[in-house]
Amino acid sequence: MNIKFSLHIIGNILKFLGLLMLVPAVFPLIYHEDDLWPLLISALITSGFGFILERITKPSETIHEIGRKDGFIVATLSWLGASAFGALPFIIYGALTNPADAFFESASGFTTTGASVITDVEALPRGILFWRSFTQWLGGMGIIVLGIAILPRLAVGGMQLMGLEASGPTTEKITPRIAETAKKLWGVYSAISVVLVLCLLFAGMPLYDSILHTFSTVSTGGYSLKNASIGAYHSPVIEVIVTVFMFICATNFVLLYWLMRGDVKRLLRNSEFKFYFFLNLIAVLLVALQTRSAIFPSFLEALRYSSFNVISISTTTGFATANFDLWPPFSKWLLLILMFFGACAGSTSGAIKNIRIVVLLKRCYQEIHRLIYPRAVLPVRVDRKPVSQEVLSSITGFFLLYLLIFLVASLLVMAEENLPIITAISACATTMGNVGPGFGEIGPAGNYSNLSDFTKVILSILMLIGRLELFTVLVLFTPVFWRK
Amino acid sequence: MHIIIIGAGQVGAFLARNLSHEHDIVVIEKNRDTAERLKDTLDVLVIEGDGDNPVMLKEARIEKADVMLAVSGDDKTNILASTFSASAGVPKIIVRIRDTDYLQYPEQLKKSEVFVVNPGAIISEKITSLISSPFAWKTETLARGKIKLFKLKVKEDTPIIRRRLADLGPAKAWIFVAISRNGKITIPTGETRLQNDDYVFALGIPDIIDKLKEMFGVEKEEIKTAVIMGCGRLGTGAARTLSDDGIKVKLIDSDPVKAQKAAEDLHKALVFKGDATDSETLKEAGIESADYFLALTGDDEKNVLSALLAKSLGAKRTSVLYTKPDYIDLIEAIGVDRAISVRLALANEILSLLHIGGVAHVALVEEGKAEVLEFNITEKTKILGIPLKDADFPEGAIIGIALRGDDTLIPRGDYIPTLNDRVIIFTLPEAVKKVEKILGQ
Repeated sequence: MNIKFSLHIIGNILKFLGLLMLVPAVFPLIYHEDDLWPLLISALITSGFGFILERITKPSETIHEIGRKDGFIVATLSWLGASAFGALPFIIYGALTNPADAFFESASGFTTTGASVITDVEALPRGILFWRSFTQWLGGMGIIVLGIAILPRLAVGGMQLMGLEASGPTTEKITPRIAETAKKLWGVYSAISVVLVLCLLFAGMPLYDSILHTFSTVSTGGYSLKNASIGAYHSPVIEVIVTVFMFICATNFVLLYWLMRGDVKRLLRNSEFKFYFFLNLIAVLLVALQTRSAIFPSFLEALRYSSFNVISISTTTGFATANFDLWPPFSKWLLLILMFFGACAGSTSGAIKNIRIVVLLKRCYQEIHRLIYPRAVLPVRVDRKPVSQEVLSSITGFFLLYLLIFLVASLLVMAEENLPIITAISACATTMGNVGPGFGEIGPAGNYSNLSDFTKVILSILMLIGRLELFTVLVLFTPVFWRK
Repeated sequence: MHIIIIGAGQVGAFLARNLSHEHDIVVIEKNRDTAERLKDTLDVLVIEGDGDNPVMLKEARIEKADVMLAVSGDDKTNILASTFSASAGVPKIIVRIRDTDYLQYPEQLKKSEVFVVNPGAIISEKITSLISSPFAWKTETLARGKIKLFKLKVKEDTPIIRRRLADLGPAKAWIFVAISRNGKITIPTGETRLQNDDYVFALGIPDIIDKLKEMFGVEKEEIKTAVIMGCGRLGTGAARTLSDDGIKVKLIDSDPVKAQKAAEDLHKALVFKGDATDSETLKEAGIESADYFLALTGDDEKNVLSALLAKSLGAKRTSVLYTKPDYIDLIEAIGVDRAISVRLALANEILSLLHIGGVAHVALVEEGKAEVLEFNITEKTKILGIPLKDADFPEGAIIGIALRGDDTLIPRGDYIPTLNDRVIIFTLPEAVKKVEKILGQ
C-alpha cells in the first residue's frame, strides 16, 4: 500500500477541482452579483491545497502503478475531498453558515442525490447556484472517470479505480485504453447534455435555467434553481422532455455509446434495459390509475404527474412536479420500493440497480427450480451468458449489505430525531439511493434543513457510501485492509 | 495501432505489457483467471474466449486490426486465428507454431503478410550462438546478422578493468553501449571505468569477438562435447543443430518414450534414459569431460538443479532454459553460466518482426530493463542531414552503430544521418519515446 502516492493523486484531482470552480465565477461578472470573491477564494483554497498536497507527496520514482488497496483509498478520499472542498463556496458566501449543512449540500451535489438544506434557493446568486448544479454534473459521470480521461498517470490500475466508481456489478471497457473509454463516456454524456439544453431552450426555458436543469437531469441529480422544482414552469412540454432525458441517462452509458454508433440491437437485447423499461411502464400506469380517482381529475392529468414523478424517483433524479407525499399509501410505498431499485448499471443513477435485482430474481427462480429437479445443473443467465459464481455471490452480498446499512442508519436517524417512521425510513432510502426527496417533512414540498447536524452527517455519509456502491468505502473500515 | 494478441500466456502477456504503452491492445484469452488478472494489471482490452472463435475475433474488431499476434500455446488455435485474420485483411500476422510439421504445408502460411515464428528454431539459434562464443553471457543477432550484441562480465583479472573507456583506443566497428552494475543499467561515457562484477554490453560486427576476447583476456575455447537434458522439441532440435556442427552430443530424458523417440530420430547423438538430477546418470553420459551442459526441459527448477549438479560433477559450462521472469537474476547468481528465456527469445523475435513506423524493437535486454531499436533513415526522418550533436538526442539512449551500405560507422557528435542509413540504438525504457520522436517519421 502506498498512501503517499494515493494522496498525490488526490492532490492532483483537487487541484483540478479548484480550476473547475472558476467556471461559475463568470456569472457574477456578467450579472454583477456579489458572489465573485467567494468563488475565487474557494477555487484558490482548493487548488492551493491540492497543489501543496501534490508537492509534498511527490513520488521519488517516475513510474508508479496504483495498487489494489490504493484504489479504495483514492476513490473514497477523492469523493470525500471533493464534497468537503465543494462546500467552500456555500460557506464563504454565507448561503450556509453551518459546516454540516454545507457539507450535506455539497455531498448531495457530487453524489447526485439532490437533497437540499437550503430553504429558499431562488434567493441565491447565479454563480453559487451554478456551482451547486455543476457539482451534480461532475459527479454524475464521476470525478475519477474524469480524472482518468485527463490524467494519463491513472491509466494503469485505472480499470479497478473506474470499477470502484462506476455503478453496477461489472465494468466494461469499450476501447482497449481506459483513458480512451473514459473520454468516450464523457463524450456521450456531454453530447446528451448539449441536446437537452437545446430541447429545453426550444421548449421556452431561459438559457441559464436550461443549463442548470440539464446538469441536474443528465446526472440524475435533481437540484433545481426553483423552489417548486420543474413544477415551477407549469409546462407539460418541459416535463416530457425532462422525463425522457432522465430515462435516457439512467440507462447504461456503454449501451448509449453503441446506440450513438448505430447499434440498436445491443440496447434492445439487453435484459437489464428491458426490465428497467417495463418496470417503469408498469409503475407509471399503476400510480396513474390509483391517483386518478384519488387526486387528479382526469386519467391524462394523472398520467402526466405520475410519469414525471415515478420516473424521477426510479431514475434517482428527485425532481418533482407534484407533492407525492399526499398520494395514497400504495403509490407512496411503490415509490419507496423504486428508491431501492434504482435504474441501470453503468448509468448516472444510484441505488441497488436493476441488473442486481434481475440477477437476484433469477436466482430465486433457480432455487425454486432446484426443488423440482434436485440434480439439474442450473446456471443463472443474463443476456444468454452465464453469471459467474463470483459475480453471483458479490451481488447477493451487495444486496444484503445494502439492506443492513439501511436498517442500521434508519435506527440511528430514529434515535436522533422524533420523526414519523415513514419519514425516517425514506430519508435513509433516498439519500443512500442518491434520489433526493423523501416523504413527510423531507418530501418534495419540504427540505432537510430542520434535521440535526448528526442526522445530516449520517445522511451525507450514506450518500457517499451509496454513490461508491458500499464496498469501496466499507473496505477501509476493516482491519484486514490496514494489516501489513 | 490496433494490435490483437491471441493467448495471454508467458509470451502473450509479455508482449501485451511491452506494446500497451504505445498501442491499443486487445487480448483474447480463454482461461478466466488469466484473463481477469491481465485486466487488473494492464491497460488493455481483455476478451475471455477462444482465439480461433470468429465471434471473439469480431468483438476484438479484427477488421480494424493492424497486427495479429497469434502466440497462444496451441498451434491449431494460432493457425486458425491467422487464417481468419488473413481473410479479414489484417496487414501483418505473426503466428507462433511449435510443431514444424505444420510447415510442411506452407500454402496456408506462405502469404506475404504472415510471419511464422517457431520457438524451437529460435532457441536452437540462440544455443548455437552461445556455444560459438562461450565466454559471452548473452548474444543477440541484429540487423539481419550484420551486427551482434554481446554481454560480457568484468572480473578482477580482466585486463581492461579500472581503465577509462576513452583510453581503450579508437573503437572501430564496436562500442560499449551499456554497463549493468548491481542490476542497474546505465550508458557509459568516455570517463566511465569498469569495475569488478560489472556486465558490459558491446555492440559491433560479428568479428569483434576476437577483439573482445583480447580485451577480456579470454583464451581460445572450443566446445567439443555437450550433454543435453530434455528430449522434448527444443532438446532434440538443439541436439540436431549441434551435432550437425560437429559437436558430440549426448541426450538425457527421464521419460522412456521420449528418449526412445529421440534415439530413433537422431542418429548422431547418444540418448540416455534417466533422471539428470541423478549424478549416476550424468556420469554415465560423461559429464566429467563435457564442455557444455544444457538443461532444456520445461521445468525451471529441474533445469537449474541439474545444471548445478552437472557443474559440480565437472561440466565446464552450463546453460538452462527458464520461463519464469523472476528467475533471471537468481539463475546466473547461483552459478549457472547462461540462462535462456524462451519467452524473451520469442518476444524479441516477434518485436523485431513488427517494424512499426520505421522502427523495429529488435531486442529486449535483461527482461526489458533496456531495449535495442533499429531505425531506417528515410526521407521522412526528421533529423535527416542534421549532425547528431545538434539533434538534442535524449539522455538514456545511445546510437551504437550506423550501417551505411557495407560500412559500419560508430556515430559521434559529427555523425550526419544520411538517407538509407540503418542505425542501431541502445536505450533505457524511459527514453524510448523521445528517441522515436527524434528518429521517427
